[in-house]
Amino acid sequence: MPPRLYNGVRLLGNGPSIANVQKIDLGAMPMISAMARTGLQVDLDHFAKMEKSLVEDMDKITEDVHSLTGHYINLDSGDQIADLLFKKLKLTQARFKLTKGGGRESVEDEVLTAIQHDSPVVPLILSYKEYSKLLGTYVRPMPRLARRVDNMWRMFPNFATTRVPSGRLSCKSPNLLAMPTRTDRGREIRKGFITKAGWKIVSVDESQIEVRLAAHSSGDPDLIRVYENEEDIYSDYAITAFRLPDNRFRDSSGVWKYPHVLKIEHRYPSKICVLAAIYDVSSKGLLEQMPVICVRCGLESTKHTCGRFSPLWTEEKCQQLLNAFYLKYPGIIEDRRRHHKRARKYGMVWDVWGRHLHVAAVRSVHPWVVSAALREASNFPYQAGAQGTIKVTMKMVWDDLEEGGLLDVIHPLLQVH
Amino acid sequence: MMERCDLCPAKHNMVPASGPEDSHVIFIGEAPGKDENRQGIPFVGKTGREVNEHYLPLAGLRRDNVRFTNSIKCLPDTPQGRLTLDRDKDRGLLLSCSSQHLYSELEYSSPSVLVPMGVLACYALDPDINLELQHGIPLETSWGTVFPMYHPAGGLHEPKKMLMIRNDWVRLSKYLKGKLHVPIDPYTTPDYREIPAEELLEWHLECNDYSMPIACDTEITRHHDPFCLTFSTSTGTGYLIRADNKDALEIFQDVLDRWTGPILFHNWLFDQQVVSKMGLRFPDKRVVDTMVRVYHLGNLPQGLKALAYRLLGMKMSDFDDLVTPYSTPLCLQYIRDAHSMEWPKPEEQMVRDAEGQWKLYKPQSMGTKFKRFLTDYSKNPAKDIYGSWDNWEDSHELIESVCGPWPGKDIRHVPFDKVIHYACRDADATLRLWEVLQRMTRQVRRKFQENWEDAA
Repeated sequence: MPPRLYNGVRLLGNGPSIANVQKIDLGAMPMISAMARTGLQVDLDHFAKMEKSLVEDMDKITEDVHSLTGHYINLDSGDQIADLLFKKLKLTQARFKLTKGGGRESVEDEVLTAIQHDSPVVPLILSYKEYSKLLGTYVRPMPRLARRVDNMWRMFPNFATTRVPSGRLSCKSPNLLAMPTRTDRGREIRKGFITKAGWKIVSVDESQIEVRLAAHSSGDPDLIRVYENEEDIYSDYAITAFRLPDNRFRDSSGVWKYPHVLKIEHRYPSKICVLAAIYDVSSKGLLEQMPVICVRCGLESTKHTCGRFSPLWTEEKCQQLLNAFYLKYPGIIEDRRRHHKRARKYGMVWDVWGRHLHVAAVRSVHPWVVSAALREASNFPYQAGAQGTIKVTMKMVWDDLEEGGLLDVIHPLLQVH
Repeated sequence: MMERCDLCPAKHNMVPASGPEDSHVIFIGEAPGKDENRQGIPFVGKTGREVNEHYLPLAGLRRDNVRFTNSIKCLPDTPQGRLTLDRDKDRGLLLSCSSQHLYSELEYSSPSVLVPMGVLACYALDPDINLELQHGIPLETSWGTVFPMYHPAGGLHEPKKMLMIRNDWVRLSKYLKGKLHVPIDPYTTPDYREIPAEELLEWHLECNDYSMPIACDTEITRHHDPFCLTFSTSTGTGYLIRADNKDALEIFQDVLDRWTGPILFHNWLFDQQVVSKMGLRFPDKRVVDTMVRVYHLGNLPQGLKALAYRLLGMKMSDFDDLVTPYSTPLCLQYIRDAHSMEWPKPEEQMVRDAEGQWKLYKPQSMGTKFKRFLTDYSKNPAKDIYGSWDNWEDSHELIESVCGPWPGKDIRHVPFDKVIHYACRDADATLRLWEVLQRMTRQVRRKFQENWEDAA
């Protein structure tokens, strides 16, 4: 039996364990309860200003779509978007999908993301949808959701700890854990969450936790070496994937530097690819996550100037990236096979903490259902493993704060995975 | 030759039942799909293959030995053949087709077990079947024994559902072999009541075991203020303390301070905020969240009502079912009063139409909206009054500034004796559930330990 790490929790891996998971979840509870009680202070003026500018931007996108296509459409209307994209512009869906009622082609985000490289109008529509979502989910409802407490407007998140099988938290009305962070507008939402004068919001991250878990779970020697040497996995892989000169060195403070690895051109796509590879994403799926950049002018599709959009990333290039990853770190494939085997044998998989997931769909007679279930089965150990690590950390931090009498001056607010 | 029903679109082939007529089990699907329409046999497409090769063996049955039919005999004339009970037209078609074919089929073959699969098939047999609550549980209806199940196609569209669907087929196997245990609520007249401070004090003084489990629950008002706390220490009983009964709450706090046994809540993250508003301090280390325990098992529904029904045989009413009959008349009166008042005309706006031309948009005044609602309501009393109120969200502030706060669905509208039963039952169910969950957890842990060295 492996030794106890903290609060009686053990690092397992060789089987499911309800007792271990109960200790992990129970340990994180005081901090989660405190987060729900404390809530977040919000700046309602910021959201009022943001509402105005979002509406202006949405109007501008409507104009831009008109200048690109010659059609004015109501971008809130799925019917009109479907008509524009699939009839007037004659685009085709990557995977054929109808609306739930079956009346027309679906224009859900995932459908549009899959064809965002096909026309510059699509990223514009996606931006409009993002703004519309921000407006409807966060900006407009905020005054209604906030409560006045001690002369401050505060928002109390509704957490749930039992909705996600991997142990992740979920949150509703609004979902503060799904705030977009990659876009300027998404980041602007975050500025609406403020503190009292003299206080600071501090963000703490467990570095590359899911890839670390993948390294631990798979036992891939090269992947483990990267972490033992305290290197950066994304830059390490970028050197291989983009065949860059390997001039890595450690600076005087001991931090690894990769002179030929550029952040946007190399490290970012490499990061997306590493995460996609450990989560068994296909080349098509990876392409959907890649930045939409015009190869001619080197600018994003919404800003490109050359007149003829040609995407930098293609499915073939994405497949090459994935292949390069699996060749460099074959342990990941082995580990995936191990999880598939467990899923087929026991109808469930588990993570390094013993949290288990039933994957009954592996018993289906249809290969496509089985493969979706196996993908879920092989992703679960990394997601749940990472979440278990975070929860053990939460307990450790909470105990430290409590013992140090620091809970009056440090208030945990959110745990975003 | 089968005759089509009155509402039949008559665009596709009719698919008759298949399998031996004297089969003691009959499976009833919803409607034929494209493959069934082509071949004229029910359950022969992708779902049919899943049923024949995956689910039927789980129940110890073979396709040749059982009968399959559908509630609707031909592929519906809707996009992708989809039907929903929410649409009057679809519901009408379902009942019309079932009356024409299914009911006579069942009368003729009189099987001992009917297995409706999916909401439409269940509705055709008995509109009172609540599939979410009652799937995989044998029920006695006017048709005899009915064993409702989720539609097998659900597992293909949403693989997560397959666990539940498989479990139901395994349960069917047990039922057919006479080995299925269906729990029955032993407390037909449970002892639920409000406990005043004096009686609580007496109970506290007489209590000589603080190490047993105590289950608690809370109810809140529409504005999220605490309404009451309920607790139970003995199955079949429950006590209610009103949130404004400070004396009783003070005594209860003293009980909590002495309690050494597990304090059970179902969804503690919600209740902890309510009890904290009541001024109660629960010792964190003693609190056990039964919802989290269920979550760790990973194969059960998480809602208390579904759990209580499925594991304990307890019937519990829904919050909406409890409150709506009392809140709706108040809300309706509110709208009638609001309608009789003067409302300002909203400002006209310029908007662009699909061709890019600007046009004048004149929003409706609240007076017009109220009038339209009342006209619609007089024609259709099932109209959702709360949904309409939500649609007027932009005008809530204006309306409430004139007419006062919207009554909404509020537990305070319900007669108190009904509230006592409803609220105490949650605490009672949580207490009874605890015992079952302990047993199930022990079983799972034992199974894990047999297979894996690490497991505990």
